[in-house]
Amino acid sequence: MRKISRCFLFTFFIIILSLPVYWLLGGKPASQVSIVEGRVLALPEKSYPTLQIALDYIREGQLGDAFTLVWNLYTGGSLQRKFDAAATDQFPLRMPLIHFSKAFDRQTISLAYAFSNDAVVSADMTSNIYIIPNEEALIFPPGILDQQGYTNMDERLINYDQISSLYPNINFNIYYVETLAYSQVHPLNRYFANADKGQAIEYFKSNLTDRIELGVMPLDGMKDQLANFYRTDHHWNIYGILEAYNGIYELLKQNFVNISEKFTPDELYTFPDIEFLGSLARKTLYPITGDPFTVYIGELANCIVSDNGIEGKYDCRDEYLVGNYQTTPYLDHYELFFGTQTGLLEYNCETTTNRSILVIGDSYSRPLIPLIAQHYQQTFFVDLRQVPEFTLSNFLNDHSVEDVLVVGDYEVVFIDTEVWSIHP
Amino acid sequence: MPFSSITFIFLFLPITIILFYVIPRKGWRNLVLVATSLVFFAWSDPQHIHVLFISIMINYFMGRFLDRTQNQEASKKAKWLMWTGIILNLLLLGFLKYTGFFLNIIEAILPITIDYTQPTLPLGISFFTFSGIAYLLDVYNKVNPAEKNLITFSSYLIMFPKLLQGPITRFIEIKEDLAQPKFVPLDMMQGVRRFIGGLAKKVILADSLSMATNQIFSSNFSDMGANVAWFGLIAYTLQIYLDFSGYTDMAIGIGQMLGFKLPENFNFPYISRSISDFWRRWHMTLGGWFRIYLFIPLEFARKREKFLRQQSNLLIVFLLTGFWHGASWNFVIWGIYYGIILAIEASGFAKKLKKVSPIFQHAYALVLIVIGWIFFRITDIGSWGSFFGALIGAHGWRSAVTFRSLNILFYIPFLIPGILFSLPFMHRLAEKTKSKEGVGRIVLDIVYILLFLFTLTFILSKGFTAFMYAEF
Repeated sequence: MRKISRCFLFTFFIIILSLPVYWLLGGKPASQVSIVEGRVLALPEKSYPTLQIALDYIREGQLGDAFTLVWNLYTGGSLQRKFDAAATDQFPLRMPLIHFSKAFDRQTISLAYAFSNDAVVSADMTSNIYIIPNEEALIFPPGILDQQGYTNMDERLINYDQISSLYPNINFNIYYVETLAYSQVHPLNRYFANADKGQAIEYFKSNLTDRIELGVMPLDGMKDQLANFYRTDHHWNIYGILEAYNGIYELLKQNFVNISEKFTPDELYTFPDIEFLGSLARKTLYPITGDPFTVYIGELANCIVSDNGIEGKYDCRDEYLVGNYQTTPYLDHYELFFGTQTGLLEYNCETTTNRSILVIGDSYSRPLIPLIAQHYQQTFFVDLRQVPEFTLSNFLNDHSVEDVLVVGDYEVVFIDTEVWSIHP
Repeated sequence: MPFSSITFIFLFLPITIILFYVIPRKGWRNLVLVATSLVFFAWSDPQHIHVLFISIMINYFMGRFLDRTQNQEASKKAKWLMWTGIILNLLLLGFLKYTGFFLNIIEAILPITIDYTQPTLPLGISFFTFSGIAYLLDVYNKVNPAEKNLITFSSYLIMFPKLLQGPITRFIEIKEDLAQPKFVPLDMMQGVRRFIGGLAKKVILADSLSMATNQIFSSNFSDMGANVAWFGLIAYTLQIYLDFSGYTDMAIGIGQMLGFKLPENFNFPYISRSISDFWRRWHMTLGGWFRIYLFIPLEFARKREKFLRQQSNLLIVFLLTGFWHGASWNFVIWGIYYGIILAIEASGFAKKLKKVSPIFQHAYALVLIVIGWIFFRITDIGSWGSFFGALIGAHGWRSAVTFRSLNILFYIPFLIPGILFSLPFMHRLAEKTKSKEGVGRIVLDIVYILLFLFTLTFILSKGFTAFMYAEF
């Protein structure tokens, strides 16, 4: 065999043996939490608690039990799945190699779009997210409105009708946040025959019972999108949040005439060392400048917060404002700063009213809750995805509320699906 | 365990090769092969490991009985044993793969409802069952004697490189390698190259094209313009070849690394000049199986019949070829489609075709092959009409379903390397470079290594799933 062939074989086997050798030497990634993927990476030893039990059986001399345990694990397929996940997750230089692959994807995309005049192009090959290169903004494709969409809307409209007639003493309010995907101004609308283009909200408006107040935060152009929403994340920024708060305040005021004064922030503060690379940047790994991360500063009423009845602090607002935060790329500052919850979130605030409100929404609504809570003694917040068994009648039997507010985009406000459903 | 998984490339393959060659006694290498093949199979399909054992036992013992009977020259008993073995193999395959299909037919004919849930299909069952039948028929026909060593026989039947997708191998083709598994460095090198080439074909080209075709073929054809429909069809034509031939390249490459020479399965089928030529170049081991074990015996058995004998035999063979691909009507029709074309070619059309320009011959074959993939890919027969409509522009050149609405515009560049690797050009270039000394070969080896690393980035990238924190 010629010398070069030996070199070739040697190189190939060095490469394929590198991983088992790396593992045998105890090599692990620098961090076992993948911030960009928002998950804990799989590790072989942590993936197999059952194997540990089997080893204990062997030490105790119960070989039969150990064999049965391992055999069941293997024939069930979970051992293999976990092992495959760990083998991929623990691959040395995994993220740089993925970045390289994504860079190749982008070159291919550039080549494909080179002969078109498209102002919006795909950001990568797998995520269905697009980039507007001139604006450095990542966006979702247009939302589709088809027959199923109308059916889902009709179901929700019937539910709203039932709810409002079942509870005539409760003020029902809906605040719709128009997002780019469901607006008339999406730059890709012309390529999607069934694009929503703002049709759903028009249908919804014309069929909604007049027992419910409807407010809308419209999106009148790309200018609004760039002003009120992050370029790298699917959420709204502080300007969008405050505009929505103002709109909701006016909406609630219609049936709550004694509502306390509107909250006005003392200042808007931008963290100088945070470059916010949000969900769209994470998903595509598109090389893009991060968004400035700006928050409001102002005096808020004292509130006791509980999630599923457990008191606690469910945001990192105070920590951020005293400078206690990380600046690691792709960190989800929106979630960390504004907070999250797992079930029914409850704000009990020191206010001059004894009125209560239930807010149904999603992550868009979460930053609004401390602001809305300023005007109520009790503010409840539920994200229907986290509490699938939630029904209004059960809730209203247990809690006394005067106002109900549904706030969010297309999915939250006007379609009933398996995940998003308002049950009377 | 897919060949293109990290677990296979970085753990299973090196461990298997090391175990295989560190065993001092060559006879034990087959034991390593059987053990690793069982692990390989059970990694993806642990519930059906018993099916492998059943298949091994049926074919090993039937082969041994056949051998013994033939030695005693009891030909009737041998024939009976041969048929019993074939029927047992077919029962295993039929029960697991075709029961639901036949019960559906019964339900459609008779006014009854049958409560039956089709069990999941064991991986590779069609391949190892056909290998088993080939073995029994070869023993019966005295092509080779029955293998006495159960381990050697098992390593033939369930050898992991060919277990899941072939090539369907006859015992006689690897008998010598099984008897004396040995390390040949040159074969090892060629095997590695073949494996890398196949891996790249599968992961970079076929898998990328499949992203586009999956989108297109799951769309509404009645809203589809001719541009998208033709792109989908061409992309699928390339995808199915690159996927299957890529897998075969990997299988043959791994076989070579372990000292086995597995048969070729493809010979650039898209340069065929007729459909008969296509079936000599496409899935050659399956075509060969049907030719040796079905078509020739049928021809022999019906030699006295003169009228349309060959044509009807071709129809039978291709009806079963289609049925082999899946228990579904679209595969049956796909098989009949080829059976009819081959029958026409056998009736004198092939001779006339040879007289026309080669360009016309290539165009004729390619158009029919591409149309054939429509029947193969679209399982819902009711959708064929609207897809054909889209192809001929019934909904315009552009329609509601566009490259942009499906977000597949960026897969268009993959057609160029796809076409290049479906034609002999790249293969000939590599072979030419390999056969020469000097810089060209060094460059080729570097290209292979870089291609391997590049393919790895694709594999890892597929596992990247950034969390959208939708639950928040």
